[in-house]
Amino acid sequence: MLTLNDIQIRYGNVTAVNYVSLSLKEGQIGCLLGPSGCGKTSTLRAIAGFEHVASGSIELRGALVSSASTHIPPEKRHMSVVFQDFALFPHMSIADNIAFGLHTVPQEQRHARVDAMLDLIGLPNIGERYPHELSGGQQQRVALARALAPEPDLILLDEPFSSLDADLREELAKDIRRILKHQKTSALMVTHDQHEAFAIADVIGVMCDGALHQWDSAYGLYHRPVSRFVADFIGSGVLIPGVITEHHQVDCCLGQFALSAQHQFDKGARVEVLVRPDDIEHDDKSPQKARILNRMFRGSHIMYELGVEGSHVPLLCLAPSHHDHEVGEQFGIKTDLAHVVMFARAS
Amino acid sequence: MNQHIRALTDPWQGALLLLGAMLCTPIFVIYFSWGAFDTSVWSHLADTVLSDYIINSLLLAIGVGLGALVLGTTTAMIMARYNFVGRRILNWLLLLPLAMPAYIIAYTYTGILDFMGPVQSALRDITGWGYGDYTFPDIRSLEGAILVMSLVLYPYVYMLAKTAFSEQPASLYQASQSMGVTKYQHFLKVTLPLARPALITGAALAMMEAFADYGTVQYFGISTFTTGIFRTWFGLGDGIAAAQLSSVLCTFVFVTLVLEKMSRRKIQYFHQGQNHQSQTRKQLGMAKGAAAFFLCLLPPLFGFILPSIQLGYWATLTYKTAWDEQFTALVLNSLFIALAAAVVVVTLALLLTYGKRLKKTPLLSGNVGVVSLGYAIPGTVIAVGILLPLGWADHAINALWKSWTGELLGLVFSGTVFALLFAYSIRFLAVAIHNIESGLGRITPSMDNAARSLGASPIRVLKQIHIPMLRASVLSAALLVFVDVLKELPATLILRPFNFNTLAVRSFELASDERLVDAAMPALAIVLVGLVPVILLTRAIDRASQR
Amino acid sequence: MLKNIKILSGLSALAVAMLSTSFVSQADEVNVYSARKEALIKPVLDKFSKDTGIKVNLVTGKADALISRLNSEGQLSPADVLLTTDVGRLVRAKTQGVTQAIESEVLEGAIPAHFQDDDNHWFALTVRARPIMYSPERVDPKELSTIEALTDKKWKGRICIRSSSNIYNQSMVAAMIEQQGEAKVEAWAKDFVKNFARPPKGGDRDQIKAVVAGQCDIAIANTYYLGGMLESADSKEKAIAQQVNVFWPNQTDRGAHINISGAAVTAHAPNKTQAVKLIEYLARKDSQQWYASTNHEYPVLEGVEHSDTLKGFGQFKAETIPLYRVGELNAEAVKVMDKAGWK
Repeated sequence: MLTLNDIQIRYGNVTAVNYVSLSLKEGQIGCLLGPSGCGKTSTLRAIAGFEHVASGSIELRGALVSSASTHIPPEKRHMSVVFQDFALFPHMSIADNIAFGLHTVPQEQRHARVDAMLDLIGLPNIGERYPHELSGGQQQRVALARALAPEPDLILLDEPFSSLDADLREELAKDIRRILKHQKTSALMVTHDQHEAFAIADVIGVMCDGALHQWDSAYGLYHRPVSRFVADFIGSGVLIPGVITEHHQVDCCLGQFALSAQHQFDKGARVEVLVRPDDIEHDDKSPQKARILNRMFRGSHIMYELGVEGSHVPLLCLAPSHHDHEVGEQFGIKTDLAHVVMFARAS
Repeated sequence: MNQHIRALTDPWQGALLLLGAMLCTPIFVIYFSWGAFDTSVWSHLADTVLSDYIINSLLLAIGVGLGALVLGTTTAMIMARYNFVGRRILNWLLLLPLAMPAYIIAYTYTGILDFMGPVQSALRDITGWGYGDYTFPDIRSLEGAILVMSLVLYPYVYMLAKTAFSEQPASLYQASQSMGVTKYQHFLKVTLPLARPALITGAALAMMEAFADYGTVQYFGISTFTTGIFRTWFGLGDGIAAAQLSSVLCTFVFVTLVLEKMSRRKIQYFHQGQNHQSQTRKQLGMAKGAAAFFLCLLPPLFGFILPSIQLGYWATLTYKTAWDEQFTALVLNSLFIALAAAVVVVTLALLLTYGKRLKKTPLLSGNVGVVSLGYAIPGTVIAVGILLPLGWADHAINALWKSWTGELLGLVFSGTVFALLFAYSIRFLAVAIHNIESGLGRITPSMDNAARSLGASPIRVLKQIHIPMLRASVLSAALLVFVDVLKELPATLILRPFNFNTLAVRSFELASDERLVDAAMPALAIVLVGLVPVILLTRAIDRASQR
Repeated sequence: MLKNIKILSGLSALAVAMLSTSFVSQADEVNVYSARKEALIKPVLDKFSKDTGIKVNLVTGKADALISRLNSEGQLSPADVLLTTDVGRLVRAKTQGVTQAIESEVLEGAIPAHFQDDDNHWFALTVRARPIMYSPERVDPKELSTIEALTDKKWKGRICIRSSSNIYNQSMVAAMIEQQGEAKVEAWAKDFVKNFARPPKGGDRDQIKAVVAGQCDIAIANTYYLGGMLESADSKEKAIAQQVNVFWPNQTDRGAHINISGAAVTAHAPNKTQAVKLIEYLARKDSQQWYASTNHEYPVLEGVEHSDTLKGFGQFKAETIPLYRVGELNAEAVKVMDKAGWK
């Protein structure tokens, strides 16, 4: 329903977004994830119509809304935006805020719709109140209700949780996903927090320096990152040096691992292999030993930093917390790489 | 580059730029005067009077800026922070000097303080001194001009400062207290820096008024740029050199404006925090309350009450002859033109500031900056600067009309109310823009975006979000323009249509004929008519600060 | 968007149409641009309307501003008559081509030749004189002789006069330049300024007040200011005015400095006949008498009786230089005063 084709956004001589393409299906919740300054917010603003694109195109339901020569103004796009600061209108009651986008709806229906929205966000009795009388979490829900009220084709959420307390975020994220799914509304969110992204989104795009590296499910980003940046940004893990010995096999300090048929490396190529904490299992029987360099207790699990011969970077291992070992001890490890992720090694 | 092309093809921006260009015509006209340069006139000016013009204009503007800051900040601080007996009366008393034109207060104080006036007469009666036995400071001096102008211009600072002070959240002061910071340190380190943009804006407005003042300095015999412009134009008969002098004055003001903008850029903040609590006013006891009351009473006492009493006394001498149906017509004319100008100017200011905010292009920001310059141009210069383009437009329309109908249409723009409104727009747009921009700061850009994405057109965003949220600032802008137009003199004098006199024109004509006593009636009427909006303004500000 | 623009432009067109009242000349009216203040001209214009049935439309303002307005309006100007209060501006208007020559036997016959333009562009209506006023307590009139003699050291710190920005001083100095040459007047001005009791400030009435206050002993001011004070509603002002006397300088040589107020018909006057009629009316004996009694100016018409106030100032011999030269030398006069440090 939403398609971005190679869009570019420039501010003067600075290119903020460089050839970004993606597509979002009807009812899907998408998310643009990346560190600040990566261009994710510019992309969102371009979709909303607050920025012009320098090249490429944006289509909504097959209709062109932005290109170098076309720019449908924001009010004609049928998209609603939820902002970081909520942007509730301080001089209007909550009901009037929610009704703001309903100016084409007849009066009676408008009331009904406002009430339905207030029910939806679980705050049925606050219509007469004013924004400054509500808590941050309530304001957030009202902002969402206001955005949903006109039944937009697409909802855009710009860092919607960043001005809220950490413990409130997860709960709200779940609520918002529930509400969006209930309304069958397509949405695109922008955030720098991968946990928020994982909590809400069906599909996530990782951006860096104006480029979209990967547009994929959370599972895909974690297990099949297409770039070193994505591998590094999503989850934790380390890259250890390896060599392609056979077409189907890579050798590294943790042993030899089988490769699937498709990869672009030649035999003898020097690569780096991604090893995630859950790839390494604690196994006392294993002949391969590692020394514990550091440990972080995480309740059900303990994250160990391990020194392994042949790797100059410490490996990470997430072990159930009953495997309690002290720093300096050695224990056996077993490596299980279900999908081997490799990148070319800089020589 | 791309951006500029888009700016020109976008109808909104195009219209606003065109509007800006129209409003800038007098400025263009005076800067274009440099096309012809007469060395002999300039070397004469440079040898004789130019340094006086520069030094006196600068001293006057800086003096008035500082004076307005001191009076405005002190009173605003007391009014924003403390409750005391009589505070409600002061609430509107403090704004009354706005209704007092600087040239009238200058005439009045001269009458009060000169040798034959009540003050010196009383002094002599008490002491038995004669002339030469004592020295009495002369009000008709640069210091005197700074004093009387500060007395009527401080409300610009006061209004903005009071709003800024009362909007500062209580939590800030509590934070300071918890860190063991004294009240005095808190004021210097937190309160003042936070209010700085408002204070500087107010002071800049007062300075621009001082740069543009003609009536006061002329009467006090101080050589400034404005008197120099008239002297060069009328005395030397050199309109071009006069225009060149005007452009130098304009440049001074431009620098003032740029400095003001720069000082604000560093602190650009919107109100964060959703439920901030304004500080509650502290109740003062009898002694301290009385001290606060009398301290705040001083500026309106000298800036309004005393001069009004003097004017009132003079008016009793002449009211029988001055009060006729002509006088009623004067009052109605003044009211009509001030109201019309307030509506037009505020509408233009809204369009321009809104366009700037919406498009954020350097072109439109520059546009707003340049049209604000008009505030500093003396009314006469504006009037002459628009006579030319209006005359040209009239000739063009008539040529067109003649080619269609074979007859002449007559003057459409010159010598009509249109010309007056045009001049007032140029002169007072800055007042409206300043007020509205500072109010606009309260509306975050994401509110605009939220409204737009909810299907609101720019016009609807203006109508439903900005205007209601800006109501207080728009109202103060309108009222300030109303009062300013009521007092405006030189442009009205030059551009008004036949048989169209205003109170300001009448009182000036009489006063400049040195018939001060006869001028008192219309002067008092200006003050009284101006009181109405000033009182409304007080109520608007109060309501805004309570919210 | 486009619709909004259309509405906006429609509204503005409507506004322009509503606000613009174009002056299509009606049969019997005359439009006056007057540098003379409304209070000092309106009554006689009203009387003219009553007597002739011709409606008078009036705008007042500073003379140079009105001339600028005439210039920019060009042939579309609705104005018929320009009234000014000094000869310099009449000359300036003529030079800039905004006036025209008129033929009127009435004016030719009534107004003395040296009070009208050689090409019949302008005619004087009143004469304004600028004598010395002194405190009889502190000044013996025998000490006074000419304006030139005021440079004498005995007057040091005793003279009050208003700013050189004022047209009356400019005209006075211009007239001196015409009679004595620039160099001589420049030298005079330098010494004259040294005798000032205070930096020039205020108007002519203020100089008179300063004499009474004792700040200075003599002042130079136009007679009608003293006349106005003598008939002021404010008894204090009246009392002040009664404490100074008028001394007519230069009675044995060039005569006291005078200026005129006058009228001209504009170059594109739509109502020329009425305009001439108005000027003729203003030169009538009763109008002249009104000037004399209301604003204490001297009539240009010979044989018009002076008011008692004017009589009290005494008879005097006036300058007889060609008045247009005063207008032409105005800029030189300003420069001379600038150089002399006359503020």
